[in-house]
Amino acid sequence: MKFLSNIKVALVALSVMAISTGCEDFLDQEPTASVPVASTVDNTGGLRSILNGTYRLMRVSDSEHDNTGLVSYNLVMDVMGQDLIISQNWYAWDNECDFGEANWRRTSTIWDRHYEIINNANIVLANVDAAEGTDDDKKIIKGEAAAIRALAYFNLVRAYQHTYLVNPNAPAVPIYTVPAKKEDTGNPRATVQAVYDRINADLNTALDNLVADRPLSIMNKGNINLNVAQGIKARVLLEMGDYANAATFAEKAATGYPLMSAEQYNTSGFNDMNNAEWIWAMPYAKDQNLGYASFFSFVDHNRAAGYKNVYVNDDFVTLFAVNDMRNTFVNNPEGADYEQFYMRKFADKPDNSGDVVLMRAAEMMLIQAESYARTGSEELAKDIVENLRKQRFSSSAASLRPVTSGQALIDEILLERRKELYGEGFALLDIKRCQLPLVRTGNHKYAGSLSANHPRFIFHIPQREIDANDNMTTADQNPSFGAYPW
Amino acid sequence: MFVVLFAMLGLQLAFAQTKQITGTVTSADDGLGIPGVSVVIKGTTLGTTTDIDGKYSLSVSGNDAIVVYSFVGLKTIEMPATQSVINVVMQSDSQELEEVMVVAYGVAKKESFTGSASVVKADKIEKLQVSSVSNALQGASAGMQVISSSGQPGENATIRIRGIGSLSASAAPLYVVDGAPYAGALNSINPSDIESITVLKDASAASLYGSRAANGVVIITTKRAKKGEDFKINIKLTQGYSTRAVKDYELLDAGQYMRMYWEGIANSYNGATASTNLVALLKSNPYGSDYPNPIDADGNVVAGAKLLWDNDWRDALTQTAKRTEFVGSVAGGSDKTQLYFSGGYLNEEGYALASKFERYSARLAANANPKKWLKIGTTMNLAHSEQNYPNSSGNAFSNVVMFGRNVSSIYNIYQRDLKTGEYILDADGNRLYDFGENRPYAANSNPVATTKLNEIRYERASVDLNSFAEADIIKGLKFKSIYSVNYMVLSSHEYATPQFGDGKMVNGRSYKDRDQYLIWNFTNTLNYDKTFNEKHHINLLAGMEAYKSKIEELGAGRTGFPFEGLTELSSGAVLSRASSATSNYALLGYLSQVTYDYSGKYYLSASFRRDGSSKFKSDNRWGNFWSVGATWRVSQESFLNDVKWLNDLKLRASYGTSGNDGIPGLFPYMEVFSTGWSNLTYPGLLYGGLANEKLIWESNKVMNVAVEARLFDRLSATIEYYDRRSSDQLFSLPKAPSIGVTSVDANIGEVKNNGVEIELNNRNIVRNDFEWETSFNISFNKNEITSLPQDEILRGNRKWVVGKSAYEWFMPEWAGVNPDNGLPQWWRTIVNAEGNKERVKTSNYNAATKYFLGSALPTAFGGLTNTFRYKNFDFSFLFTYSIGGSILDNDYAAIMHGGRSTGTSMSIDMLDRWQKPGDITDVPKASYKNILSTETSSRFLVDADYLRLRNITIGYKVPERLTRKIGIEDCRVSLIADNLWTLFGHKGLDPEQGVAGTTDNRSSSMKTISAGINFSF
Repeated sequence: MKFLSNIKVALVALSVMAISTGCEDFLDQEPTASVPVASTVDNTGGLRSILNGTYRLMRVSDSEHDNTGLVSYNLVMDVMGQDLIISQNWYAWDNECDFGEANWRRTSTIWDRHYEIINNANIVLANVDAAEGTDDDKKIIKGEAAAIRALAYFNLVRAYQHTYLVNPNAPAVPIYTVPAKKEDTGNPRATVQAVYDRINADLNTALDNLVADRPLSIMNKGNINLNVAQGIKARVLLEMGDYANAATFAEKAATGYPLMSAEQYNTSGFNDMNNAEWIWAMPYAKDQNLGYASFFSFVDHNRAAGYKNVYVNDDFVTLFAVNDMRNTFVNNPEGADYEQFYMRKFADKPDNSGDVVLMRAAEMMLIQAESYARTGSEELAKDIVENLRKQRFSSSAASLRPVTSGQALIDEILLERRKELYGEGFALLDIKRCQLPLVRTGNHKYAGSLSANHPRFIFHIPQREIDANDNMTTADQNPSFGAYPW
Repeated sequence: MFVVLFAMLGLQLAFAQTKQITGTVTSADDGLGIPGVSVVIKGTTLGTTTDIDGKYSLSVSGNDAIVVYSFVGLKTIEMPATQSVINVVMQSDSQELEEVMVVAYGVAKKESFTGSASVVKADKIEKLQVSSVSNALQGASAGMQVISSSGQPGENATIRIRGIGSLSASAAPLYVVDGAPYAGALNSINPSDIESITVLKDASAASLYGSRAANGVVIITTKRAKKGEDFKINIKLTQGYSTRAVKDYELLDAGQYMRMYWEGIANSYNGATASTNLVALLKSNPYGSDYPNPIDADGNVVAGAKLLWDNDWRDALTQTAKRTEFVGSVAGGSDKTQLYFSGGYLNEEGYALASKFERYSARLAANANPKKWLKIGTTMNLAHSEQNYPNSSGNAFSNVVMFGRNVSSIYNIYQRDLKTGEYILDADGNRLYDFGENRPYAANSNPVATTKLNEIRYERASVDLNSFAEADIIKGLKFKSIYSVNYMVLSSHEYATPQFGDGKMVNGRSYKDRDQYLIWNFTNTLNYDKTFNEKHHINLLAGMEAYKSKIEELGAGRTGFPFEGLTELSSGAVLSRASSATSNYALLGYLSQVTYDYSGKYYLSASFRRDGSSKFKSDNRWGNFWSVGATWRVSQESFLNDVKWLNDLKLRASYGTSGNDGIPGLFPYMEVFSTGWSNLTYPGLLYGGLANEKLIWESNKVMNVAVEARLFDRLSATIEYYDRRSSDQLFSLPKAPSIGVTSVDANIGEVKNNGVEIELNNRNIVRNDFEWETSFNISFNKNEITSLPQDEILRGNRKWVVGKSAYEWFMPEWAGVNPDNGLPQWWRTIVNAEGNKERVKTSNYNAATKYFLGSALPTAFGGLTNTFRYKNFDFSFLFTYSIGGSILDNDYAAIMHGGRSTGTSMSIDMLDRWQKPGDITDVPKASYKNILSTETSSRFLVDADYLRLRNITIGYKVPERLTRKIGIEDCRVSLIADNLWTLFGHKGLDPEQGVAGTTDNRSSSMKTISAGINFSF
């Protein structure tokens, strides 16, 4: 009996122990795929990693195949113009200029992606001065982050309001220069002027800190360098009507980036950032969805698989001279009326990869030419257009130099931009910048026209923003689109 | 022993003046004699017991004696001793046994339980042909909404107990298997191994599970052998066939489609343009290339043109599914050790092409009493399952359900001569697949060809081990320890053939993923049970519980697989992805409970639990959860002693709290950068989102009152009312996206669910050879948001505001078709000249006003079961039903496009379209241009009411005199039909579409008809 009761005493002790044990440490689990904020932002290595992530964010594809950051922003701005046609599927609503209302997906994808980019840039900029690391590294990081932020605001201000010259006091988009906090309730729409002030301040920071060489650790054209910052600056100045400075920065930006040949334009497939003319590009490599969500899936009709839904307006095709090698259009008589032509300007590489161009020398030359033409230096403008055409025509015909002048010369240069840059994201943005109507003729699926500065040219603020932002109400919304136009 | 002694004594004493009564006692269940029945003269100790054949012989003195026949588990019978031969048939009577049910951390007598719980027994579970036990609970008890929205075999049903309490945190109940919280795969448990399921619904029942009980608890108890039971082998075999439970939408045929599409272009441009562009747009001409413009400018088929093909893609993408199940089990043991062993094989196919679930399972349950004061036991479940899971929901073109429905029949499955329509054959005479290179619908794909070559396959190998030891320390004091481990490896195999379709572009692709789950739970409890002065009974429980889950994921993928059929990564050329991740999660809890009852009349209980979770910051990771409950058994009061028709009457009430930490993130309180955002070869980070250090449990407060009664010895009724408030909702609070972050986890708002549940059971007829029993349950639930951090939160087609359900639709309201021009119309509220609000019709969708248009959730749902037994035949049927609520049928909207979606099928309802001014119809005109007719509106909201014949079972028990000869004891053959008939107002759609009432091109419930045989020896 004595023995038994000893067992029982032991059992009581054991059970009381068992039900009262368990220590706090057991609940202190650690994340395994993320790093703490504090130990990341206090050194240049961490900040460089955030910049790397931000570049990836600028191109990464979403589960929706028409949301690939800057690349889809550019394609949207192109298909909202007059020259490209979407036969069906992704981007069709953009093509109809009918995807920008408050509850529709397009406005949210543009808004959310750009502001996420801005927040990451803000984190870098808020910490770079105090971070540990060499001054050279810090300068480059600071310059890149500032340029990224400038470009993001530039894209936003152009998407959510008419061009600068329409009304600098019109409401544009909220500005943030510090990282997001839990307490943030959202800033009000800043004026167009305030956003451009922000952009210019950031670009000046970028110009002060960046160099033309890309740092050794980042060897490719995916990273922003001094020339890219100068190029963005040129675009901004052109938009603001500061033509003299626009020409200067455009010239600087293109320095060191010679034009590709006419042959290269016609056959290279615009898929490699090693193209000497390219100043900036998004790499589309294995870390990207190279299947249906790839940029090439939409534009490259010779691809094994893809949506292949981008076609070209036949009225645009007829604008090209016979020996203009930029005519990459393929006749497709099998297709429906609006599927008569597609382009082979863009073609992916055999492994489905292929870089996407974001800035190249020809655009800079055309900024120069337009700026000269608008400031009366018509001969300089003509020189540039002639030089460009020499690299774009198969034979040097005598007529390569423009013979027009005044507004006609400006129009000719704007047409030259369309011919040179189609598919690269400029169509609607040029229409907006020059305050032109959108006129769709020919076999466009959505033929007709929208007046200059049409409400459909500016996206509505996403409803989720208005709902959650304490400083915005529906009264702050952009004007209604009006009736379906086509 | 005593009975025999008394019987002998009785024989001795009743020597004189007696008459002899003989007879046989048989069972109503099988008509066989029952040995060991006590046969006693009422008011005396005189009696006997029946022999092995159920025969007895008894001496009785006097004519007014009453003989009492009694046996444990059977209903006691009294007969006057007027005849010399008295044969009696005894009925089983579970009602008269004290019903014991499994509850939180133990068992309880039904009559004394203060909480709300429903029990589903093995017999109900076994009737249904389900691969996962979750699907067997449909209609089985009140308060539990069970939705089987997927027709993919092996998928679990969605279970919601007493409404949906959480706005965005998990609303799923906690599963507990054999006393331990279970996080393994439910479909790895063979439903045949389940003894009972208890569903804990209110705080008094569930609060002991504290932090994870907010959405109710489902306790699964598996089978074990009984003490001293002879070893018995049970075999069950079933074989069946399945098809879709409801027919899919009816579609236009190829000829109708061509003309309808022509009409769409003609309405948008003109007849001539339509005629010349028709084939160029559709990229297919089922009239053959001899008729390049088969429909003329007036919309008629040109003379001589005949349809050369009309392809049935749906048929090609479905299969007649087979279902085979084999279960064998052995159970038995001595007083000291008992064993239960079972093995099962299930092979269940789905109607979607190539879908399948195959499971091998084995379970061992061993119990032992090595010492008088010690009990130990263990159960081990081994399961290996393979699930072929072709994409069968969602919007991807690889979804065979959507593809089959949405690709127009004008497109060819196999290549044809475009002039004659004849199939093109290869050298061996085989047809060649047509991948539709230019097909406007899903170009370059043909799931008929690729679904069998491609692979989406999940393999689960799991080991669940659950061991316990229970020691009696001193009289009334027990210590129990349960340790359980769920170990599972989930292997996913995805392969896309290099030959065709999606994989062709990358020359074949293979993904391999291995997710390893290691989850353990350790529970230690002390229980003290004591009765004072025969009237005061007290039970004390105290314990601790620790839970740890570690999930390790490893995956990689390659492209470039030139050899068809070789899917291992080493055969691939290019590495396309490789990743791994580990997630850790831990919980720690301390629990206690006191129950007290007085004289079997008054019952009180109180519980308290304190839980900590690794998901919250150390300052606020601990939460306290408690409950109180009381029961009054009114029928035990002396003033009701004379009310004979009232067998039992019980009132109970409870109130208490429980918690929920079911948010997706593991560390919502930490501000971090996420890794994995590398740019080419350079490592990259991105801001991981705002953290909330103050985050705490979502808490649930439940009030419950109930009346339980049993009347006239046949009718049992339970009526409950509950009010459930879920506050501090764990919610991803929307932030202004412009700050760069779209949300932050926060505790916000409150949701109220209240309702009434009624369960009725009536034994309509109880005769020797005929029995009929009816069970009915109905649950009413109302869901309402009672507090929000902002005036409104828009959530797609819903808007959350205080006072409305979280599942209330908010969208434009359909106003029919304008008879003048055939355009769709919606309602718009405007302020008229007098300053009053007025509703007008508009054809501008963007100008339409959005209205609240009712909730997706049903107002009531439940089940009705009837069970009949006639001699050796048994028959039962179960209806499940749902009343109220609505479904947004986007599947249907997709096929009502009227020519807008080139190449996509159209519903037969398009024939009712508007055609000319004056037409009164609800279907807008066909239009190639966008008239927005299929935009979301109440046009596509359909009533969700349905009635479904969930199960019919007809069984026949082969008489034992026949089976005994071949050494078999029980043998029953049966015919089983699941989902045989469905009453639902909207053709083409299955009514079970998920809690939120939205469609997703899913493979839906199946109708399964099987034959089975069950025998033991």
